Amino acid sequence: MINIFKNSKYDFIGKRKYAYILSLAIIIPGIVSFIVKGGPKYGIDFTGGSLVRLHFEQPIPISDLRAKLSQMGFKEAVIQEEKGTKYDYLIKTYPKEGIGNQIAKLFTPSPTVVQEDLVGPAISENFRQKAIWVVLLCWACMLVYIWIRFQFRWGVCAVISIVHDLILTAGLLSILNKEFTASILAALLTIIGYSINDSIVISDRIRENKRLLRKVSLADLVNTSINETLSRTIITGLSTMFVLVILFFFGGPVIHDFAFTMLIGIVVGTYSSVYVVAALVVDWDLWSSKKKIDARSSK
Amino acid sequence: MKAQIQAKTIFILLATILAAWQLSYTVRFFKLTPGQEENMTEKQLKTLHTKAIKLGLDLQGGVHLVLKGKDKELSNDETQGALGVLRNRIDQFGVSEPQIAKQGSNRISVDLPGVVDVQRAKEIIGKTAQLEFRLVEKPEFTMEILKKIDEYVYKYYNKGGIKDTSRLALNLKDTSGINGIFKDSANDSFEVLENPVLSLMGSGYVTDTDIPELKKYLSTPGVSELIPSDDEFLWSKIDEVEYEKRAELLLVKKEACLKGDAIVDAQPGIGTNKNSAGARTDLTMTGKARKEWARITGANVNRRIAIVMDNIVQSAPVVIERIGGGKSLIDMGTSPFKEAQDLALIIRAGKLPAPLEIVEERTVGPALGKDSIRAGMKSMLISSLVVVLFMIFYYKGCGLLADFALFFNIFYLLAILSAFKATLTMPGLAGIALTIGMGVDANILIYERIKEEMRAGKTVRAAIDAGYARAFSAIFDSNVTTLIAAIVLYYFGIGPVKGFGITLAIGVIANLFTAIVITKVVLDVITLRGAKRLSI
Repeated sequence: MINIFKNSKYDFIGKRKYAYILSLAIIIPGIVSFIVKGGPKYGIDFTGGSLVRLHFEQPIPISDLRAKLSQMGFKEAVIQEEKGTKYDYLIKTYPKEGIGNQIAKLFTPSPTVVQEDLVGPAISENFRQKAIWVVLLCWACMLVYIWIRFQFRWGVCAVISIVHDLILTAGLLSILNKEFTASILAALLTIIGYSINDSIVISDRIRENKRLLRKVSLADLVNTSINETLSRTIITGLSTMFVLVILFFFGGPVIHDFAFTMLIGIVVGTYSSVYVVAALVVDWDLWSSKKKIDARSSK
Repeated sequence: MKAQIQAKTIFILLATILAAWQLSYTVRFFKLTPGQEENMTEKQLKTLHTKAIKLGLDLQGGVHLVLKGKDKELSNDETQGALGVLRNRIDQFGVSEPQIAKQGSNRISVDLPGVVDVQRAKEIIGKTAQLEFRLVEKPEFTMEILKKIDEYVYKYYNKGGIKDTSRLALNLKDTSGINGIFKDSANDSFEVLENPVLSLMGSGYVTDTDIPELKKYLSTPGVSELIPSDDEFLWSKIDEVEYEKRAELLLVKKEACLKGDAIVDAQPGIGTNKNSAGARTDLTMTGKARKEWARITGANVNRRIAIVMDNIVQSAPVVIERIGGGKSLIDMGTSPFKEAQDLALIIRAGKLPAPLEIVEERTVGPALGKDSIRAGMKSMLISSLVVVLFMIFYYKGCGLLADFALFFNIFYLLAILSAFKATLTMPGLAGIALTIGMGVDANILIYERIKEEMRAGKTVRAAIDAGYARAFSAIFDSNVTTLIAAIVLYYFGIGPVKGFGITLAIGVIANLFTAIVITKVVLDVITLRGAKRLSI
């Protein structure tokens, strides 16, 4: 039986002020980056772009093509093999005049540019708006469920922590100049799931301890609960990280960004279940009991 | 306690067998070699294809088309009509999981996963809708022609005059009784039993599984000479009546008596002369066509007129009386109201055929690129292995059990996914990844709890029971919250969001089952046998 963090007694809640500062220290630059750059840097999935169809005289490995495109600065280009051939490739990248010939020049013998077009976005404006509404509806439903099973406060704080995680992750992506593509969208959705899962596990322990330890202050209760679930938090976090680190290094260029986003999200999600959900609930509790006391003393 | 474990074990076994059976189609489908494919009947192939897990355009590749109105922007109504027409056409084309969607305000995107032949796809999709009214030949006359064909086909195949054996070989396995074609093992030629054509046509209708066979007979060399030169055989669209899919074969005039431009409007309605709750479709003709329509209907009372769209007979009502006022009513019989709606939609779309233009076409390999998919698969395998080993390292025997649970989790997930006929896409894979993460987490939650209870001095039995009981609320609440979110994403979402939602929702259910039920049964069995120590 391996036991890590046996009977640990770290004071998580006492240090929450630092955590708030840390969160803001990352969120604010992220938001600034968003504003300066005029929103997320949408990928071709969202913006549309140039579509080039190349025909090579001899088979060429797709990895060569990808390497050459990266050299040209089109790291995010989507390269698709025409079905069944090793000679024909479709390349989708940012809109740019004459890009086909520029790519063709990089190869000897150079391929023929069969087609060069501007294409519309695969994910339309319409979809984007609808997706936002659907996600908001999702959060509302989650909030109601947590409200029923826990408390209204927990629901609100859990949703705040999701928003926190998303803004933080998206902000970091913006600072790092990463593209917002369909796979990043999938990663963000996954982060929401992970974050809520983590928040609930800790909230559940607090709910249970509340029944057992009635006289303890909420801050102590939360601390005990976080410590009790600490080994689970670390082991789950670790095993997820293993997967993501492997995907990040060996998963190829497309999964690379997905894994990178998830890695940020998992770290942030684990952190936020302690320092956003639990900490906010403690502060909410302190604030409302202070209000009650104030109200009583003013009478 | 014991009885409960037995009941649970039986339930798990049943679920596993069911899942294995459901998944066997997928395994067979992906292992299918071209040689095996040729040896299967069309029916078998179709079953296999519909029951196997489908991959989306991003994972499998296929044809992606974007259409818009030629010369002018499509109005909302025209776009709706065009969507109906396209759906109709693609259904006939037989693509699995086509995605036909309005894109932006007046474009239509069509995704055909697995389709490679872009030329054929374009021909079928890009043509302008052709709505025609065509006279149907009298039943007696049609019967006469069919009898001639029947005799001819019988003779043709029994004289051994077959050159093309590949297609007929398809019929060998599944046909039985007198309708079948049997292989003569001695000289490898084929024989057709008596009445090859007529025996397939029960009261004018042909079941969908027999359609390919009949089509084959009708294209036998020489058959076309038996059909009057101004007539041709057309198929009706496939209907489902009492769980049987069937279509009608009709002999109709080649020349249209009226074209789509004769229609002003078509609307579905309820209430006919015979049945106040019956569905109907109302047609209104233009002033110009009114006279012509009166003449045609007057001359053909008691005959059928086929409403043909894209060479498929959408409906073939019998003319009851001369229609003078230009307003016709098609009694849809016992068909549901939706049929009337569909018919009206198709007719409206055909009245002013909006010419469509393909503005974007792509035949693509998987959107991620083969190299990316290969790298992705490899890294997923490696990372699964790492998680499996880590669990065994950290939780010993129980870790192994958790790994088993994880395996079953994915197993059930894929089985349910194929039962739902869902399409697997990249975001779908992300949903599966999240499920796996939550599955591992559920086991970790339980085991950590059991350890806690054991540290508190409980016996193995008591610790296991308490561990499961106390971890349950956390697992349940987090999974249900996720499930709610997943259902919302699936129900209201579109495209990638929907794909993520469905795999996540199914995954959560599989998760609750494997993490809570299956592992518990195994541990219960172990402790019932009197284990004093637990490998955890």
